[in-house]
Amino acid sequence: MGFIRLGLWLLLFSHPLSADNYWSHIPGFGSVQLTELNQEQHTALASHLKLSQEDTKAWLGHLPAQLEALSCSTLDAQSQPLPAYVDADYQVVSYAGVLKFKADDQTKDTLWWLPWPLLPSLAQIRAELEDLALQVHQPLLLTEQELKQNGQFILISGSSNQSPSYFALKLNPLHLPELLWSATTAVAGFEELTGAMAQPVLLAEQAQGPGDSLLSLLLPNTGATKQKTLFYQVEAFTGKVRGRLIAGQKVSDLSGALTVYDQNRDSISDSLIFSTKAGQVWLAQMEHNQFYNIQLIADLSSLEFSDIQFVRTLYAAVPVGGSGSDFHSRRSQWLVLLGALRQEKSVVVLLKLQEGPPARFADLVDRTLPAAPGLAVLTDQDWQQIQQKDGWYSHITGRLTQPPVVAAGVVYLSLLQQDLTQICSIDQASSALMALHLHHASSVYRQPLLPLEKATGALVVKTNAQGGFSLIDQSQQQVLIDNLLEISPDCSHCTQPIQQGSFPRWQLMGTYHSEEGAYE
Amino acid sequence: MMLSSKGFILVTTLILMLILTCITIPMLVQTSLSQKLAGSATLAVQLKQQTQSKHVQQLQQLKQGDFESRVFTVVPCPALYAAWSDLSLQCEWHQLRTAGGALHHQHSVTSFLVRQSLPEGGRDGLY
Repeated sequence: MGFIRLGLWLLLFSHPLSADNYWSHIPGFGSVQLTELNQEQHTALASHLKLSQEDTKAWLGHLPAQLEALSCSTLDAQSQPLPAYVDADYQVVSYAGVLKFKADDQTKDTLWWLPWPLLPSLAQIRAELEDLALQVHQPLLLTEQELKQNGQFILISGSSNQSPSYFALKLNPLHLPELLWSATTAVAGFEELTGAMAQPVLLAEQAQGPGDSLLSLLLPNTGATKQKTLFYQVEAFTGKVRGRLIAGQKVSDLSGALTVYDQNRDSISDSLIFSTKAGQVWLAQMEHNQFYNIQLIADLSSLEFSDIQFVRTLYAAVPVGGSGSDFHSRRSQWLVLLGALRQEKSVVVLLKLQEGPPARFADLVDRTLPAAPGLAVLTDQDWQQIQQKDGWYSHITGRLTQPPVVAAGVVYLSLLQQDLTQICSIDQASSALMALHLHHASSVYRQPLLPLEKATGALVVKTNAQGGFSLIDQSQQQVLIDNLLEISPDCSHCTQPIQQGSFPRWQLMGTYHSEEGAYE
Repeated sequence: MMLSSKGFILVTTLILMLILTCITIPMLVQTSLSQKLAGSATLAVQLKQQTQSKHVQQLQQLKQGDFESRVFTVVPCPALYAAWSDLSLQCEWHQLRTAGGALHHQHSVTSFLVRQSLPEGGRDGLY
């Protein structure tokens, strides 16, 4: 009996040691741990929650349970590892703004960051996470390479549509998070902010003067209403508004997925691609905090998307040969890769970025993989159609957990098929990896869908012992595909294993002769 | 009368000789010039070929890693059929210049190459 009592006491005593940390930022007080509030901070919290002092205490007591209920293990597949100089054991995931820093190592505490504006509506967040029509975007991590300051680590996150805000956390060290800035409707310049369910994007710009910070961020203004300001361009360290993209045309219901890229390939990002949730894809040019030349590049609204998961661009040599057997005429052009949600399924779209009227649904070729693998035949006619039209799309069961990775002309998609009754339960979900040919979306490997035991994190290409390359999951270090294939331009379905020995590869771009002087 | 006619023949002969010399010397000069001209073309081709074969050799060495070009910058990769996510594949822009020729003449061949390499554990994602 005494032993049991001793055990219980030990359990009670040891509990606070391995207890989770709950951080927030109380305006006027700074970053605080919610479990260690003083009287004034407690009063501030009570008035923010509109609760009495006693109820606030009860609320704080329930906080661990409330966060446990909020946790959505299917979303954890999207978590991002922290850089090694901060703590390589930790991964961060955002539950619509509520950040969870979790270590694989059980002895390390879990750290929570609860944005102050979200505290009164914590209970409503779970409903947003379980909404299959919405993509919950993950934060942007800025490491010392991007910040150009040793040991610095900054995280920028959007939050739930309940009370939209963007915030930047300085996590150096990890266990003392500090709020750098936050942007809510109460902050000057952000009065029009209606939604922040998005991933901020980093813009590195050329210096305009000495002492000028070069880093700025693009914050999408998502949300259902028709907004005037579509994007805020803010200074990365202070959150000060530097520029904004105003919608001249009718752009409404902006999705949180966007990408910036370097269209003229001079190493400075100059273009922005964004989309509405319904699938209107827009392109804007940008320079020196100015946005101009906003144009519609594709209208895919007839595909009935509910949200866009990822937008990425890729520069590739696209076959344009007219006849079926001609693989040798190619054009260098930008491709847009789009992952969109459609009910509980998703659609992957590849768009060729070219001049002319915006691409419509009819300008794309349906390349959905048939249920029976034997039926997936690419006829000469199909191939010709793909080359002439503006791209392809493929319906996929499940949703993407990571942005698509393209390696040697193969698009790798990590998929999660959730149970519709228990959306947030990873045990009820099944994961798979899909590999599609970049140019015609046929299956590259013998097995079109590679089932996985666990949901994958970020995909990485690594060398293997057999002299080839393998695809691994960075977070769990599990090998997903042992010998990666590369597509070859010899024929439409030709592939070959990538050899380490073939790297580095040299490509001759041009040779010039010059002569000077005279002979004697 | 006799003297004057003798003088006339001499003068005529001299004039004729002068005319002949005037014709012959430029012809000789022209011949030597055209010979030089003809030779120079061969020389130019020889020099060009020399430089070019040296350049091809250097290109081979560069590809095998025995030779380093002095000028190179990291650039966005050129468009490939088997495209890669930007950060997985790294590209370097190399400029290889081979010069040859004599004192008053220079002939050079410049090649631009892109070296594509896959850094171990490269980062994922498309940008």
